[in-house]
Amino acid sequence: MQWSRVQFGLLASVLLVACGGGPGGSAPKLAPPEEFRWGGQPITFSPPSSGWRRQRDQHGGIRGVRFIKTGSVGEGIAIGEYYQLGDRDRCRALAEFLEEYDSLSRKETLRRVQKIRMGYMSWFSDHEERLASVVNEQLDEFRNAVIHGRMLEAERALELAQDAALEIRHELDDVVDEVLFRAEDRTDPHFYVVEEPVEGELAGEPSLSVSYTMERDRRTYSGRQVYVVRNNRLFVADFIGLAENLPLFDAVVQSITFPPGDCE
Amino acid sequence: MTRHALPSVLVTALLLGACGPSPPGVIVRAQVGEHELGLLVPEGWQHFDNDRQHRLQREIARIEIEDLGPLSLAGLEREVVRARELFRDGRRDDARSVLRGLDPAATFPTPEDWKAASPSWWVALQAKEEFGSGPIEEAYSRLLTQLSELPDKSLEDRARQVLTRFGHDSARDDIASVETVEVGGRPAVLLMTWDRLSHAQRKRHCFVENRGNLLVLRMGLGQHEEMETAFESVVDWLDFA
Repeated sequence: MQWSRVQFGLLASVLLVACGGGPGGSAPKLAPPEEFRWGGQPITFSPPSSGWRRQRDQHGGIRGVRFIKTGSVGEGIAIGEYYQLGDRDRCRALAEFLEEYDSLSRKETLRRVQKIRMGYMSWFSDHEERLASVVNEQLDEFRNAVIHGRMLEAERALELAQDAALEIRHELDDVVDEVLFRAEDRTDPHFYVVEEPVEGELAGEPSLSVSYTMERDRRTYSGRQVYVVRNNRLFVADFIGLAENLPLFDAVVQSITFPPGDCE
Repeated sequence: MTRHALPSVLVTALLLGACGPSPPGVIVRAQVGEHELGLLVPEGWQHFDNDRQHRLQREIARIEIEDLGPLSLAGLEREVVRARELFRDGRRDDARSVLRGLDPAATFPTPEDWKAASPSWWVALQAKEEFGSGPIEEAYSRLLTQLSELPDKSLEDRARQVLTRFGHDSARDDIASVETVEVGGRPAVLLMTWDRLSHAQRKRHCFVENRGNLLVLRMGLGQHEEMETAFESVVDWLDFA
């Protein structure tokens, strides 16, 4: 049978559609969504499907998970939480303390007060510094009231400390500088070309993303980081690898949702 | 199909149904400590017998089967009665040896319960000749009374408690899932742990209560994905004599 060009064209189109090809290419394949809880705010996302092995990731104040493409040139997708921010949140610790303090020994009570106090060398914002000082003052009031057996006063002070702690809300702009990708922070800054940060939205929250390229071993790598704050926790999604896998990274990031976290 | 073919097909189907599915490996009789088991050795796996600990192994992958002893109050009570019988027969060393093999601190429901019972425990354990038999008999009686009056921990609580013996570190690992089931007609808990940050290093454990003794089947070295089918088959085919 002689096939015309039109027939070949039609057959090619049918095959492309059947194989998930065609204009725009196929959607990256993701695994079912998984919920991770690295601190007080859980995060859910769909990891890359097979071909990426996972490992724990803990460096630079971030803890989370890294997916490494097997048999590739060192490509990785990481999602993590900047715990140096999240660990400052006292709302859960204060709520638990309010429930338990009257059943604790005096020694344990005072130890817990010391643990909850917010003593830092630097603050992310004036707003945080002001409210942290209120939390600390009320904890001091609580401590004195406990020592002198004035339990009603003690409870009131603890409630005020909790109110102040709940008022501390970190915005992305206040905290993102801690983790923002910059060529000058790298050991070999001349390998990198970094684009301007782009504002966006992720899981209903304002987000920021930075894209860059890196030349190494006669190969051009693409990099992208996305930052988002939810419930006083700063999450960082990070990609380094070949440009062809950027859509996969974007799909993983777009699958992010935030289930209710502590004190929500 | 011919008229003659139909009955033979029916007979074959009935026979297949009656015989049930065949095991994906060989069932061996295994004595794991106090547990007499029918144990599936999956195809391609080797079986190593080390008395209280058995191992199924294929290359680097390992499934460990271990008798954890009487980690329940009922089991502890049974062993204390056995030790008392040995003591009464004048076999003080054997009685001591039975008590020494137990882990009462891990078995009593709370540290306070263990603290209250420990003076009697130590008198029974030491069983010094100069005590005579009166105080030692008394210590056994007090101990057995205390044991009979305490509520036992649930199987799940005991399973969670012994996880640390297998390298579980609660700062690094999480318990991903817990399921109460029956294995070989005995109460059991299926428990999966994983690395808290990455959900990697997945390990399955199956704790089975059998006559007061706790048996554990667990994934040892190796990749979870490569062992999962074998592990599930071993649990599914586990049989107690």
